[in-house]
Amino acid sequence: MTEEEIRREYETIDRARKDPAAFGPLYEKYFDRIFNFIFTQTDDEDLTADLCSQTFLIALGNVHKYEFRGVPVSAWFYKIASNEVNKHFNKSNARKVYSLDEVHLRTLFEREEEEYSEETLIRLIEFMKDLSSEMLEVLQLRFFEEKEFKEIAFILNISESSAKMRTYRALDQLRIKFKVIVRDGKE
Amino acid sequence: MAKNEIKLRRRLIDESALQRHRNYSLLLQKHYREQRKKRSKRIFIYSIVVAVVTVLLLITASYFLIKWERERELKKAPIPTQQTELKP
Repeated sequence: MTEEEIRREYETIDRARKDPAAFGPLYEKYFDRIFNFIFTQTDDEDLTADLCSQTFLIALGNVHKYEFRGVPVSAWFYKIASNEVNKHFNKSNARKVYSLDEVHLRTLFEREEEEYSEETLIRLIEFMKDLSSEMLEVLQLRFFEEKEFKEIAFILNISESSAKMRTYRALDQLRIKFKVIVRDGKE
Repeated sequence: MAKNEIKLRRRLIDESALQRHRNYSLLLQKHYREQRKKRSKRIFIYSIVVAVVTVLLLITASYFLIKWERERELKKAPIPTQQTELKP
């Protein structure tokens, strides 16, 4: 996203402060992305619809508090959505569900020129189950939502270096587990 | 036990499902309703605060008024003179 686009979105937010109807274009633009982001963490369409509606409602109600921090407005929506999802799971005491899109995973494998197979995929999912929620969150934002570290830091309310460290640590853990599998296979 | 549940999703959310849930006018209605609710709540809280402050002011004022009135009455009342009773 260019600097100019970010500025233009901020102007829309500025207009929405006086007239809430001006928020419409941002809602239309980001609804699908936020819906999918929440759906990945709930795997429940109705629950996702509720949380998504709540996300935009909170955004619209707090539009006067929004401060420009050099990141796209979408990062603010992701931040609210992430908080709402966490709040829901804390309240319901349920285990968080990450439903990874197979098509997207295949694209990631192809981009990294890694061999894609059903077996690798099952192993990856098994290994990911042992990662902490914090690590899964950064991986999701980095590789499935394709966010920059600056945005991830804003969304998760951490520093940019922490976001990078968390991502690399998660990748390292996965890499080590795969290496162990390869080594054991050779022996 | 694994920390999180990870699932593989083989189907994407179709456009019709997204279309079904996307409704800006409903969101706007909810927003206006929320704003009205917030405003009413704020007015209610302010009224309570004003009422409590008024009652406290009245209590303080009446306390001082009563005190002042008592002092005034004490000043007004004649000072009893010492009289020795004569025995017949």
